Amino acid sequence: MPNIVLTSFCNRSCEYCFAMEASKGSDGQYIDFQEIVNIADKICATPNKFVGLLGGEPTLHPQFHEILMYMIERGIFVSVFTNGICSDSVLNKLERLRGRGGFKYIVNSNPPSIESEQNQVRQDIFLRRFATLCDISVNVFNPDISLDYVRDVAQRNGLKNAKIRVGIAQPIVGESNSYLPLESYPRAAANIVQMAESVWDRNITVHFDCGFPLCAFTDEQLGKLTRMKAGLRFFCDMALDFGQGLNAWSCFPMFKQCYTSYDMYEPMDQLAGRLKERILFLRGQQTFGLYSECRDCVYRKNEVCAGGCFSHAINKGRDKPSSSAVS
Amino acid sequence: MEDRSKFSITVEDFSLFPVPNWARIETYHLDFRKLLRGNLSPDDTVSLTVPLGVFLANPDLPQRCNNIVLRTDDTNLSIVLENTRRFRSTISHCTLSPNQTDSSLMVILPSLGIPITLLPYEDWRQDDIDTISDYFLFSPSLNVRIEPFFSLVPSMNGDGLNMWDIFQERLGNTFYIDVRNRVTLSERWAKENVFFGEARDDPNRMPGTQEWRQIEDLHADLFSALTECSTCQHYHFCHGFFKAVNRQRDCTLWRSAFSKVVETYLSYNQRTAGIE
Repeated sequence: MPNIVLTSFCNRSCEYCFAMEASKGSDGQYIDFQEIVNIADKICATPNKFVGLLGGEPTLHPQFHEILMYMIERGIFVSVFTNGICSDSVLNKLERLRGRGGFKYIVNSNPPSIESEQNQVRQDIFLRRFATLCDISVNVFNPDISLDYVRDVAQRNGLKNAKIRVGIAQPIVGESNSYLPLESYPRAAANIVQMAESVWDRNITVHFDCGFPLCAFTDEQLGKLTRMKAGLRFFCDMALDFGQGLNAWSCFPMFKQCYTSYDMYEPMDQLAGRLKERILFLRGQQTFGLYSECRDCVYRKNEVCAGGCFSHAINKGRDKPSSSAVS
Repeated sequence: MEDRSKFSITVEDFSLFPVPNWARIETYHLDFRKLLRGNLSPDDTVSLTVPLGVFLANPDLPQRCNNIVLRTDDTNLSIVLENTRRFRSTISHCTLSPNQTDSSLMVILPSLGIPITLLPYEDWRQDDIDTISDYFLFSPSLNVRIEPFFSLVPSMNGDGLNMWDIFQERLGNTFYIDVRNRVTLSERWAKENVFFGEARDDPNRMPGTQEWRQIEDLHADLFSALTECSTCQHYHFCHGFFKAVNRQRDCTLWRSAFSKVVETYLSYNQRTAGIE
């Protein structure tokens, strides 16, 4: 799915954030509307009309409401990746879009231990107001932090039939963000399964983001997740992220390695092809997967599992794992 | 004048509509007095050009005419986006002037499926014209007209419309009646005080007037009098439209934009023919 990074500004400073690094170094702080039109043209020229709006915090873009309206009017389904911490004026503007359809919010929720009370209150206001349009996303960056708080968030804001998108904090190659070390994956997996069980009675299902290796979960855990209709994904789908100043990359953790400028009218499949070539080159150079067993793993060979996010392998020896995770 | 050809008569502030407007009536019957009384035949069609504010304030307008042309002289993006669905269902196209509040509208409107016509004034900014001509040439999903570029391409083969047709100035077929019921060719000629007569006059006598002949001879006059026109590669499309009222007018901006469109199309043709 193509994503657009609307702004590098954010009203939080999560230590695991992978997007912050990627949106640094661009000329402007907000993407220009003209670029939005051209990206929308590229998307409309493809059969699948989906887009993700990212940041920073995308709602901080001064024309966020207009951008969202524009995408909806072009018939593009929009997923807004937000933290839901918005001013009243933004909330009121978004209220006017209610009933139009064609979009949803994926609200990133942090554990109470790293989120200020004020932010939690603002996020709750957002979730309650747009409950039917919201899914939740959580980033697992520390295996020792319980994910049970997600049930509380869903319960107090009246979320039902929603999805929880679970991502793992990955290392950004060449940068120093906090991420989940490989040895902690089984503990994180147990946490995820526990959370899935806790929200299942509200018909809330768990869906994986990319980067999970299949072997982080036991067969019993996989069985439980399957019974709870979890969206299991162990393969690496190539995204296409558009940033400010006609820049694009295919993967946040490796944005420095897979970064390119594009011509305003270059077709999307051509641009994606260029980036995919680069990714395949890097992948071929580095590894078949995160673990030595990955080389002969039948699940990798049959394309069930990609062997985790290979930014770990590329980053080896140059990184700084999450201090809390290491301890 | 033959009575069976279709005439296009623009009436400034047509009394049939209680809003500021320019009503364009397509009719087979050239009877100004009857039209001004609002006495229309069943086969007559009415299109209404209204400013954005008037359109928004009058939701029943579309039921009373065949189509609406919007003049977006002073507007902003948010208003346009909030009304896009209404525009798409009722607006036949938007005319844009250079002094828009938000110049990005000229790309956003066609991308939303609303055709646009850029009014051929000289005070457009070079950047804006470059942006819109690039968008017209290279956008992969454009499916509506952007005039005057859209009609330029067929005119290369001698087909299609020319500038005078696009901007409703086909002598003998189009008329413009101003608020004081004076008849001329178009709004800009009214501003120049060039009138063929009044609405109560017999339209069949108008071709004999000096003003009519003055406009009729313009094409040939401009071509012979101005080197700029006689050597211009776009004369077949423009026919001196830009310099018709004021011969000193600078049309370099438009000429370079037209050249870019033509060159790009010729290179497309060469490529499809296998000529690199």
